[in-house]
Amino acid sequence: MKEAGTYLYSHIWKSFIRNERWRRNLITRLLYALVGLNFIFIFLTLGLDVSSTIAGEGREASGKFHEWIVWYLLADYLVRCIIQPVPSLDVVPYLRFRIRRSKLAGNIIIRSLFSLFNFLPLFLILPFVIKVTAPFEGIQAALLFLGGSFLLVIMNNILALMTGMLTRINPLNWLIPIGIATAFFIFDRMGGSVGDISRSLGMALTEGRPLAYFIPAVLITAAVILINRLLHQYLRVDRGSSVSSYRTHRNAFTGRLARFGDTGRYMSLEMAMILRNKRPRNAMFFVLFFIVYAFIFFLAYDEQERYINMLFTTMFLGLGAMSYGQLLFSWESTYFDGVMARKNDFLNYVRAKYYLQAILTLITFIPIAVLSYISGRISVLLTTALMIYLLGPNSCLTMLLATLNDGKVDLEASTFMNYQGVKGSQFIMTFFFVIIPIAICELTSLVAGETGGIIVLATLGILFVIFHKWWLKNIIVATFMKRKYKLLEGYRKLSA
Amino acid sequence: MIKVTNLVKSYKRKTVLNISELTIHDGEIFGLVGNNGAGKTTLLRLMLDLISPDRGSVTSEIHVVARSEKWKDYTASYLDESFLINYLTPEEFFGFIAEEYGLAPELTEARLAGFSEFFNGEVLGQKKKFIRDFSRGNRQKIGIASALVTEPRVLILDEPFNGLDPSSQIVLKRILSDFNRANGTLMVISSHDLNHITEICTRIAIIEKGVIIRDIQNDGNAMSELASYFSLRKESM
Repeated sequence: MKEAGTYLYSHIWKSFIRNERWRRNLITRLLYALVGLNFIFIFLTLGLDVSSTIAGEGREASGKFHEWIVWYLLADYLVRCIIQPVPSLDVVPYLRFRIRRSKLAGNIIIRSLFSLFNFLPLFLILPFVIKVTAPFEGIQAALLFLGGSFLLVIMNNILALMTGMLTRINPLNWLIPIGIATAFFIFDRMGGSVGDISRSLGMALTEGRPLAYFIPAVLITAAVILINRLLHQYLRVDRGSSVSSYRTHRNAFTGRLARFGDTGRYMSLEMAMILRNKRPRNAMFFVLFFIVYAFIFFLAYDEQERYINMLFTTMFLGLGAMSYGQLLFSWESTYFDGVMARKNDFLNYVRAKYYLQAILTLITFIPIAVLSYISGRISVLLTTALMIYLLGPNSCLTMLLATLNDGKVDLEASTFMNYQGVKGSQFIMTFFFVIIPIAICELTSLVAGETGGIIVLATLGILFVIFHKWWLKNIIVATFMKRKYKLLEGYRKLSA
Repeated sequence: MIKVTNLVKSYKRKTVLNISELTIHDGEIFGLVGNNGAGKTTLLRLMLDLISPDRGSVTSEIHVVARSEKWKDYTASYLDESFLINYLTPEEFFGFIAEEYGLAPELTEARLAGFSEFFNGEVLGQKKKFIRDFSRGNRQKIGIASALVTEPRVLILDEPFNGLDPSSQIVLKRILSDFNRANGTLMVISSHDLNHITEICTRIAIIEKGVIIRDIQNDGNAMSELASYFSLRKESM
């Protein structure tokens, strides 16, 4: 009989291959494939472009590439610390079996290797090795550099995994990545050159100097030992459960909005859902992310193309609300049977969701309007018209799309880069929605000038806002009711 | 009264439920027993309009459940944890449900006080604890109490004794019986525990492969009939 631990590795493969996302319909799978191919194409083109550009510089080319290695590793490490999931919860079901914890630790490390971050650098490294290292330094140097780069990527993966575990044990451990990044920046600012160190590292890898391989290997070994120890100490079933650290008194659900009737009560419930659960809370961070990005876009770049400015403004204004809105019902998938079996006022329930979506758009509007005014890149009037349009027809479209989404969302599941409940087709549709107001405005502008475009956008928005009760009842609630059995069935699935 | 007529439900061409006729009368405590996969939960979900039938209908009083939502005014249920809003505290959850059913806070509080023995001091007053942070048994208690607090005319419970400690099981049996006696509530309860079912139910149906194969009036001999059915079935396997 095989030891239970032997199955661990086959389970990684099975959990991947049997994921619900592969059971979607043919069109959705085709969309996934197209999006995947598109990304591969973009990154490969980028990698080839970079390598072709620097290959023109002859023997200097390697140095140009090498001087970015350490910066890349640092950025990669920081991004991984924030968004790369720590797959420790995946092994919790195995804790009750006769499997040594060291084996589970090994399993966690192997699971972590299936990260997109481990494959992305290949698009830069492979073209570089083929176009630069091999022609100028020889095949052996190319292979040595490739092997060394691979080791560095694995090192980053393991170090980020270790940091991820440490930060989950104690948030103060965030000081580790922050400290490392600060140290590098201070070193570079105080006269040291990270670029020089990086160039030396690249050269050492190409020339096959043992120390360049030895240091990453030592760091990997040390991190693996620490991960093992952490798992021995902290991997317990109760730590895998959802014991909340987010206490009620910090944002009590008291139904303070109850004075606004049923809609107010449902809004209170929805806000408690957002504030008290990891996944929606982090989705809300995207609103902040878009605002920060808006600051960079409006103040650091000098983009004059009108439609590009409109596109980004619409994205900044709308994507936060849309990322909440496209999962409007899925957010509640874990308790939706209860919602539907109980007495409720479904129209007010949907209205509450619409109002929250509108509030999100209004909150993002304030900084965006200020930025558009300061930068002068897009008129405040047009920004306002776009915002009103988003409150109207776009909210209606997003909510309608949500009624088609039967994907389950685990509110307490892992955080960033979690596309559970988000389907490929919906993701694309969301971007499509951003294009529609721009197309309306641009097309009207051709006939009636810019003011005409603004008036049409704003009028459409205002009409939808005024008649929101009508479309909520006759379009959103009606569509939902027609599809409710399918949605409920989807929400009951164990995985999505 | 709940009336089931020609109810058929299939998944992937396999019929999982096929009941030509079943009427449950007001005041009855109707027990549903059967092995795993027999179709008990499917029937309960159809009664609550959570899945759509391929054919047939469920009528609650005068309302066809798939066509009207009026039956929700007097029906309460607890099937599983998907009936709990687990990021609320128990008080918040009870309060939310009470408001849905138009109960005054004082009345809700008074009714919840009636569950003090059932809660055993572990559910209410834990102000910093969300439902998801409670043990499985206590979550089950919260779910059952949330259904009872509305004092429904129709009550539907799936495996209510699961996860409860022996003392709580005994208390729950008493609560259900008293509640039925006091309010004449129609109750549909599924369970694997034949002892509990025979103790509280006035009528018991055995369901197998989606078909009700026996419908027993519990006049005191139901236990022996159930025991003989399930032991015979075991022997024939």
